[in-house]
Amino acid sequence: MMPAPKEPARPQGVERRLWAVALGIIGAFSLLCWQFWQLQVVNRLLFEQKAEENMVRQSDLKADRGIIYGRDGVVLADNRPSADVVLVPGECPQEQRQFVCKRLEELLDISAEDLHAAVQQTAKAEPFAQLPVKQDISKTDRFRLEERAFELPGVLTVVHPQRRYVQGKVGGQILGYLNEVNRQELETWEGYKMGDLVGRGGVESYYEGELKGTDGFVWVTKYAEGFPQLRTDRFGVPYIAKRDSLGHTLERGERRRPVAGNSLYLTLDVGLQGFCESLLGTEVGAIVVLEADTGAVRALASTPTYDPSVFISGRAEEKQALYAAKEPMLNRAYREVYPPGSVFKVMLASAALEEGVINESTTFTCGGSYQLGKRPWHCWSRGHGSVNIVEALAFSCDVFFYNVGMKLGPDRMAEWAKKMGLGVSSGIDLAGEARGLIPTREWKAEFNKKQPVWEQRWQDYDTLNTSIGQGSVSVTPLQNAITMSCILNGGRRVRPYLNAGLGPSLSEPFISPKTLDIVTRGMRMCVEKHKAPSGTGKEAYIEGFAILGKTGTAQFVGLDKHTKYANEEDIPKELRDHAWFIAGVTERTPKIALCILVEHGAHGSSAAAPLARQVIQYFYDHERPSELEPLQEMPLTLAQETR
Amino acid sequence: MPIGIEDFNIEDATVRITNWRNLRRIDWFLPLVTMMLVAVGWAVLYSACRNIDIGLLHRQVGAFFVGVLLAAFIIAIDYRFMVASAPLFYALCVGVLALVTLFGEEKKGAERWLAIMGVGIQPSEFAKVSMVYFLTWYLTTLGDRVRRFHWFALTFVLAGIPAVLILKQPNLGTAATLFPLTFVMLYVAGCRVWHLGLVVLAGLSVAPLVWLQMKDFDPAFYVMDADVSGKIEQTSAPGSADEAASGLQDNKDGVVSWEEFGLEYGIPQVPESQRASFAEADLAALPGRRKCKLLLAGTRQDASLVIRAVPNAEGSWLTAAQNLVDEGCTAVGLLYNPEFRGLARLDADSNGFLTEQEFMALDKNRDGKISSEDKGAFDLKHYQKKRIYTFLNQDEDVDASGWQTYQSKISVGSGGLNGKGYTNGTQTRLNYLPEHHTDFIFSVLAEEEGFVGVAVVIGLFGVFLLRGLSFAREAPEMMGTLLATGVVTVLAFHVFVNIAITVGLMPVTGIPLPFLSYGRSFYLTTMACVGVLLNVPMRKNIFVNQ
Repeated sequence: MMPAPKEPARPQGVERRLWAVALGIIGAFSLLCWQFWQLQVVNRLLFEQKAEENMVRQSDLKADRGIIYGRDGVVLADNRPSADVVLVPGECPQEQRQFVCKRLEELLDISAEDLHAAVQQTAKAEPFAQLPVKQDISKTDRFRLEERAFELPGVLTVVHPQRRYVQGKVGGQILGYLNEVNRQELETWEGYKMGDLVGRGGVESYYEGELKGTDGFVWVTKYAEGFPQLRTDRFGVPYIAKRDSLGHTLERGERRRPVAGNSLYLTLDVGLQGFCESLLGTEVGAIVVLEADTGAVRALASTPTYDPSVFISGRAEEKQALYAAKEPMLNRAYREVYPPGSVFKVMLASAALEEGVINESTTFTCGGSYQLGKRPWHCWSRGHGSVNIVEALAFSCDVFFYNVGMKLGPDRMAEWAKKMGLGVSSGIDLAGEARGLIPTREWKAEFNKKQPVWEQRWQDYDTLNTSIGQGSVSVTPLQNAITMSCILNGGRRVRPYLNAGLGPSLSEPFISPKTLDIVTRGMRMCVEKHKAPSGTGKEAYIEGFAILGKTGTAQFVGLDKHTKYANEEDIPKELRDHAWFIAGVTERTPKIALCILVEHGAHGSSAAAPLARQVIQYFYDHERPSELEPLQEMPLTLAQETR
Repeated sequence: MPIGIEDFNIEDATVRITNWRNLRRIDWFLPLVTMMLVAVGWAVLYSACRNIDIGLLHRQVGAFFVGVLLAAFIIAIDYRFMVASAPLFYALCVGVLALVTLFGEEKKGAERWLAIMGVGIQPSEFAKVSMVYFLTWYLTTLGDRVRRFHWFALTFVLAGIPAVLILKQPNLGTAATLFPLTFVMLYVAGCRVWHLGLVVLAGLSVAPLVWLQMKDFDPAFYVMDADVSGKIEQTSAPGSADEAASGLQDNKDGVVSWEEFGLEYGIPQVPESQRASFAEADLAALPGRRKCKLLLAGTRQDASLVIRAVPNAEGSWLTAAQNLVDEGCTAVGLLYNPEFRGLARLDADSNGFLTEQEFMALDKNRDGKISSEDKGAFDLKHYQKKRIYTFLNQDEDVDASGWQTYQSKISVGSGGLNGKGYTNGTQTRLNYLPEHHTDFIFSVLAEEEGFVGVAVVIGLFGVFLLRGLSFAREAPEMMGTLLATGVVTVLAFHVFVNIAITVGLMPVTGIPLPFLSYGRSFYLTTMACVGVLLNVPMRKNIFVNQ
């Protein structure tokens, strides 16, 4: 007997409660749909943009820096491809890493253990980071890597342009060097990114805007872990992989090609520059060679110098050496000031003649000293007797110029010095030029304002000191060369320039031909030994050349050393006088103005003048007309003059 | 007139545990929708895992076939027999959970896995199904008594036992599933609605407690001085600190060696002279160091470990390291940066050292002495606080733990109306979307198929669940109704919470999406649920005299 089957009963309202549950589910799912509608339809653009920001990055295409040429197209600085080996851990399978590192150790002479450790560490965090293995490998190494490429997954050669200073040390100070842009510059300059290189010192810095170029960019897809797609092909040219391993396009949108920086053509004569630097040798000094008619800088040598490549691939100790003694990074030709000594007399003679204070026939008698009050002011010689302006220049008679200076007075002296380029910026296209100083009444009053009143007042001995280029007078070798070129080019002041594109810039003539003739005769007599056997510059004489010269021996420590040391050779090097020689060559094309400074060279006649002879000889032996078109001459404006 | 289990006579000849003739009455619509969802799941998983490991899809397909067998097994047995055996399941389930809490195998930082014959299984997954059966048994047995408050309350106690055990693992997601299950089943079983209202009120009263803990919470401030000596003693020979350190170095007992650990996460045991340089190199290589705190670890004389977080200000960590040395630590190292989102990768290799969860569990206490054991019942753990914090401040901190939600919302939103096209989701492909094959797989669908695809799949889930509910309605007796309702509730909860997380409607909790998320244990659970659902309408006429 089976129990009667019964319809199973359920509590009342179950149906209703089930409907409530169903409604709950429908409601909850509708809420979800509403939220999806909000995100995917209403706010779609916002999230699309965020997704794009996530995955697309601008990748730089670095612009080549402009090439710097010397005169005649000699390359001074260019860019060479530098190959770095990198390892992308994400593309090197775990089980092969040990082997790859071993192999790289054999090929590149690096530590496999260190590399493996670095790879394992990077693999987790940034699998697509490019782990540097070795920088700037040789061509041989590159070929060996290429040969082994099949067993080195994830190993890439990344090639990028690197500055190369072709001439090494020659002209190093003029070129300057490169290093990374600093934080402050990043904030204020436009178009610079972290890690960009900027020129420091020299032409690299002055023409940074020209040389830099404009970086290009390319938009690329970025994985959450990094960029897997930057590659270098077998010739070392970087490219963006078109597709990733799953076949998705990686490059997106427009790319902007980089625009290389402009090339710079310098007037610098690389051969001459190198010759001047080697001529100075171990001496500390400077040689400036200007084209007198244009102001083109043909050489701006200064020793010791340095090789700017040190900042690219140099080791720390090499960089340290740059900051050591003698300051190899300082170009003494335009960034350091010295008392000009007797070289100053060229300016003084021109000024006095122009002002009519003296004329050609004015003579003063040199008895070995000039009496100011009770104190005798000595000439360097025991006495030149009665000398006129020509002889005074030839023999560098101090007494003559004491007299001239006293007659001319400090105000006109300073005015003329500035006119002829002394104690003012030359306007050369290099940064950090030193200005020097020509003392005036106002300057002394200001400089000594904390001293007693009599110290503030301009005294006659100041005039005497100034008239032989001593005391507070200080000029750069470059300024002396400008003065020299004034005599050679018909009394016009030139603005020296390095960038051939700038072209010459000269002031109107301000010295009469008559004056120039007198000064020229005096300066030629100084050099031409057959005319004046005791001319101070006779060491600079070359047969068949019309050479003007003026020696200078600038005291920079008090006179007592001569009484302290019996022989001149006993004077310690660092106490000896600076040796100057300025020279000019006329009757040749081009006319050149030289200034030579040998720090502590003792005597201009013996230390500096012979160098001038060699420089002139070298210059005209090698001189060929420039292949560049002569440029339009520009007037030197007042603003430049008084800068 | 409600019926209880006593109304059935299991031993009755007409009631057969398996009756193949019932297969005639099998529902055809639910399997159809299921197959559609399974197909969608495979397709999305293919897109999601092709740049990780395509093997995941193969394993998922394998899990499906095992799941079909499981479902067939469940279909074959009369659900009333299963319900009648439910107390046994319950006991088994609680026992296994207790076992797992003690001896479970760690994976993904939580002790949810138990190795049975070499195969790791997650018992907490099967706890869900067992609880459906058990609650069905309990509520049908109760019958009308469910309207009495103490019986009503007892339901929560019975459900609470496995829930607490699962919470201990810790697995908040699974534990949380049991609450709506109990709630909805009680409701359908006919309890008083105001009883349920009381439960809701009780739940709301927890809010001030949470608020009290949250109000001073600053996710950027994370200081720990924890004693985890137990961990170290367990993994290396007891003895001096040096021995402990060298034990770690020798990689004994399957512990991540200091060396290995150091390579990835820091600098343990570096000679004092080299410490600075080594650490600086490591510091530079540490990922995500933008705004991080760093963890310093030091080994004490008694082989216990001190962990200290330091702000990433320059040099401050060196001072902190020096302080650790001054406190008598012999080996001091830079451990890790807990704020970094990549931390999830930590546990993949470091089986046995400090997992993410353990890191997070080392929370800051008022007096600065911290131990995860000292916490009260209502105290939230640091990572839980942080998740709540980031949920409430979704726009504030996208670099740390809000990262997942942020990236998920980008994925969803950028999909637009029509999507980016199958396998063309950039967020997925370029790995911006985290966990995109498991918890965030719905974002992959949303990104690639757009709102249209989302609506279709949500619609499919809706149809699936409503069909399940219709079984509950058509079931001949309360037992079938409750069983189907329970299963539907579990699945609906998973679908809703998972999808809600992907669009930032809920804080991140590890809840998988049925049919789509990768995970074999959960896939089997889902298939078992389908089997249970199909079982209900098949047996509706069993008492009708044939």
